[in-house]
Amino acid sequence: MLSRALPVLVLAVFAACRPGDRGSADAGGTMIISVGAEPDALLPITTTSLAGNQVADIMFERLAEPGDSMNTRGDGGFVPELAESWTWSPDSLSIAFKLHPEAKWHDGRPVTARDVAFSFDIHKDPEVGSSVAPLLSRIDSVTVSDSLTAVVWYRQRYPEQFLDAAFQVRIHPEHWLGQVKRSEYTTSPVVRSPVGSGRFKFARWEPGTLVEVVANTEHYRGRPKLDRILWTIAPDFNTSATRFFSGEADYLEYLRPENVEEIKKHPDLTITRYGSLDYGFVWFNLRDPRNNARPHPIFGDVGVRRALSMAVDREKAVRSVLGDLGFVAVGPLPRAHLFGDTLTTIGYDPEGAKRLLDSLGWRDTNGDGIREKGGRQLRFSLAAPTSSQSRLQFSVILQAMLRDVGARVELDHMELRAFQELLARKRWDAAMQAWRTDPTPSSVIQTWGIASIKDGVNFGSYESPAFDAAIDSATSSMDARRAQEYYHRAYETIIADAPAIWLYEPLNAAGHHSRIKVASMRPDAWWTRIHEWSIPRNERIPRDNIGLRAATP
Amino acid sequence: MRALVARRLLQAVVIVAIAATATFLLVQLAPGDPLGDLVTNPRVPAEVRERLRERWGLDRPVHEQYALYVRNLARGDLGWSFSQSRPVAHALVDALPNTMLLMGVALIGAFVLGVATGVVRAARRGSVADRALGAGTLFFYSMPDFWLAIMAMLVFAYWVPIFPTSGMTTAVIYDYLSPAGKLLDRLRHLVLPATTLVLLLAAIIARYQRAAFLDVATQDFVRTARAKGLTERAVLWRHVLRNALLPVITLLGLALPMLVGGAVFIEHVFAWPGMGRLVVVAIAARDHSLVMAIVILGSVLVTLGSLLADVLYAVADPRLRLHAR
Amino acid sequence: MMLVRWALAIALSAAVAAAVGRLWARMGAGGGPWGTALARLRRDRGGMVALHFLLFVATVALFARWLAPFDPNVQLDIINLASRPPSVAHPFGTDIYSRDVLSRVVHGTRISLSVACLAILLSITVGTAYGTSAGYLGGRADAVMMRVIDALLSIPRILMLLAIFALWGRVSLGALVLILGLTGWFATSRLVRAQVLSLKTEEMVVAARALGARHRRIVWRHILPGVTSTVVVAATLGIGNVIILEAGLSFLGVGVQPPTASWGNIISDGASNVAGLWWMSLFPGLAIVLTVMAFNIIGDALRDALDPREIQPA
Repeated sequence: MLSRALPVLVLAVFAACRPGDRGSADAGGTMIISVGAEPDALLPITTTSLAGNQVADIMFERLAEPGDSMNTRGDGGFVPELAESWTWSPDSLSIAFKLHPEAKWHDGRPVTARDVAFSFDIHKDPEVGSSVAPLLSRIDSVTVSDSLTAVVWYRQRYPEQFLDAAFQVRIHPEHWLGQVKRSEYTTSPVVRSPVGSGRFKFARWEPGTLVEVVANTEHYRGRPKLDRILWTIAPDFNTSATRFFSGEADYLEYLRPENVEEIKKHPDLTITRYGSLDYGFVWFNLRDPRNNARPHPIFGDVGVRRALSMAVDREKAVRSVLGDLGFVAVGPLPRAHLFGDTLTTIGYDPEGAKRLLDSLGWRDTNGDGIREKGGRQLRFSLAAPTSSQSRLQFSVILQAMLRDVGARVELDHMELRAFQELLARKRWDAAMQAWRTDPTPSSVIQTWGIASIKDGVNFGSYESPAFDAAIDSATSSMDARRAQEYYHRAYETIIADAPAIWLYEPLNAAGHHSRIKVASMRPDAWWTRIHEWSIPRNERIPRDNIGLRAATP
Repeated sequence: MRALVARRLLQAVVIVAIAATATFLLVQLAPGDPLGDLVTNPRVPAEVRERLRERWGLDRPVHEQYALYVRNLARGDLGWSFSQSRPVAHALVDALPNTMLLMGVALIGAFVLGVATGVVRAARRGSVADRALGAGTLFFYSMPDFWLAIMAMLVFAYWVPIFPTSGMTTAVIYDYLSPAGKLLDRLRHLVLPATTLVLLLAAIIARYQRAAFLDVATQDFVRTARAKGLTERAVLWRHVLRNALLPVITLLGLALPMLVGGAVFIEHVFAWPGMGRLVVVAIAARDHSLVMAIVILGSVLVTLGSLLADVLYAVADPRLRLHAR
Repeated sequence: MMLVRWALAIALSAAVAAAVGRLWARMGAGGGPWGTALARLRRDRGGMVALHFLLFVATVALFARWLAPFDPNVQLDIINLASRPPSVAHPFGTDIYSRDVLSRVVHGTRISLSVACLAILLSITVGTAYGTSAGYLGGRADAVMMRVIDALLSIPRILMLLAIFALWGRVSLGALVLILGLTGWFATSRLVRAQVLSLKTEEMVVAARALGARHRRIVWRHILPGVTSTVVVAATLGIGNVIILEAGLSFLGVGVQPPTASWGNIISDGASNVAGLWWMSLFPGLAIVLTVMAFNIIGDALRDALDPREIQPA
């Protein structure tokens, strides 16, 4: 969901661009990315979809990006982006960011400290409802000391206070976004053609068809090597894969095992593997979908949730769906965050699951193969989005596995936006979901914390004060080892509570046309160095020579 | 003639009104609250939500809601598409021409092929050609639209990749092609979906056509013509074919609903950005207002088609023309 | 073992076909419009081949459990047996969940056939009742009733169905039958009404009326028997359409719900990778085409035998 840097798996070396290497003789080329779902929005602050996040990230910038030092505590290794430099106050309760003097918005106006203050303000505003708001609770205010200097004030010092300011908040232009009412950031037609400051600028968005960005030749750190990037939008994953293999697109971001086989047959296609910070799970709604004040008639009981977790042979399911492109998940965190930790997980034990369900009163009394309790069948719907072939497959495999312990699963496959909508309105029983995590384990509070039930994305309403307290202690502890212990306690709690069946962690592999020379890819966001990607002059195909001119539809 | 058109127009209006009412009832009967959902949806702009609430009169009694619904329809206001984040009418305006292109090509192709098949079969009744064509016709007539589309795709887009698998133009690149390149690109994309639709529709037409042809061929004036000593060919062309074409015009009206149905599946399989694909996508996205609007538009199209057929029929058939005067 | 069972099924259906043929011959000897029609049908080679095939398909549907080599919903081995092309053990291959496609097609036959037959039964009943009422009542009632039919016929059936499924979501098999049945009787009712209108003016009916016979008696004794042939032909031709329609809906994911197999949703399961899983679209598709073709051949033959006029499929 959120894209940030990863401290542990980062392979990327952030080569800071030298000022003055504006315009390059070898620049040029078109890259077409095939995606299976429409972006929900292109504004960084409102988008919650992967496709939207990519486009937004490429058009907008942060104050600084984490570097190859793999550090998220303090500012060590961070690479300047919009900020040219920063200074800490002696008590560490404020940081002054000095902006790059040549930084400009795509409409030509300079990027100022007021834009920075504005951006922090909107990210914290509940009316906007940004998903990073819970992470900014310890930031008190942002003041403007001169047109290029913004000062971030903290309520307390804590290890990741720099990360939160420099990385979590993407800088939006006040002069442009200020004209839109804050409650309408998701719907106003204005935000459909955003003005950013990044290396690529917005060209067009045709719903259901494509999104196009072109090189910002005026960028203060130099123009990107490609002329343009297009996202061609297919209605589902398979159509997007078809477009890639037929040569209509150059890049397919998440390959499935069968795609890997297929690529080997195409000499002009290449596979690039990179790490992942995603985890996929079967999400249980802990609240009654018809009346959120009541617990869910089935999943309200932790015993049932644990029993259903025990009924699933996760190893087998993951091998079947992902092959060698994934492994079994541990909990709501990718292994990269484990730091050698070993957590107690719920193992595969179908007989134990049956015994547990029996003991909880869920018994098959009428012999139809489905358990009942108090006149209610152990029967629920499992939603999955058609944009993810993997999740669709998991849902069918789980349907069969759960049938073996007497649970009847009704599959509900739908288009991604309808799926997100269903989740957000909490009218569902179970759902196949995947989250993308942050560089630090602390971000788990965004997805599973109590504060995120009402305004955030904790749509399953998992509510554990013990879990929240442990995460809180971990993020405020300045002692790294103590922090680790708190994290351990938090994860043990949530895994035992089983608000989800922790299913898989994908290993990412992207397919792309061999003429595209990619830079190293960050596991959380493969596109972070896309301005360095290039297409050598002698390998260009006709569509690479379009230049910067506009399309004539 | 004018009276006939006026009367048929009036009938058409009544028919569309009944169809729209049926659609309204369907929405009212549906479980959950499809319209209310839209009004409470935070992703729909606030002022659109407010307008929707007013437009549907959600808090008012059913008969007032119905009156509002009819008034909005009459004004061409079809509501808000949640999945497309824009008015339903805009989505339809984008999709309709694409469907019309596919259907137009298919209609012409199918009529030529279907009538020709029917005529050959009737003219060479009992021959090997008749039986082979009969079997072929029945084969395609018995085929699910989507399956023929998948098979065509499998053979001509995967096994022998001479045509593109999906879309109406090559994604993205099309915008940067020369005019001639654009035309060629469109034609290449049109071949598979159009051919599929032509084969399916031609099979239907051929079945009717052969029956109509045989019907006419046994009538008195044909026998008279033969008795006059005209050659068999002259009889066929001058008398039989002309008269046997009349039912084909009626078939034009009948073909439209079949074409709409076929288009749903074929557009879906070939990802052709028309109304058919739009409705499938809208269902997957649970976009009720879009689905409803397409159903009503579909019935308007069909009604207009049969109206047109009736008028053409009146023009072509001297007996009716006389009568209408 | 499996081969023996299939051989038995073929033998059984052949025996039934032969018996049906004899029965028809005997009825043909009895004369009457049905008798001559059946006698003609028996001489029609294409019709008899189609009959044989349909009886075979019916046998498969009836004994699906014994004829399917595997449980259609069991995922045999999702690691090693997924997405296998046709082989001796799995003549129709396996799907991505390692289920045996032949077994799914066999069980799908049962589902697809029974859904289609029940739906047609329902449409025919409703259509006949409506058409008879309209035709018999005549006058203004008839005019109104027929305008309603015109309107309902103007909505393309597939769109109407999609609208229903869009609003109601996933439905049970029973509801699917109801929905298919209740959207399929419009054309039949028009046909029946036309037939009733002409029957009404026939001497027998006019005489019965003049003699003061009760309406119910007239309808049951004189009108309904007169429309039987029309209805039977429309039903036979209509089954094919319903099979195709159900397959289409299941293909789009709104008809028969997984894991229950129907011909349409097996194809849908394979549509995610048409090129790599060609056997998943080919075999169920062939089952549909051959079955529908057989119904249409018999329908055509019946129509030619019973009634030279055009009868549109229900």
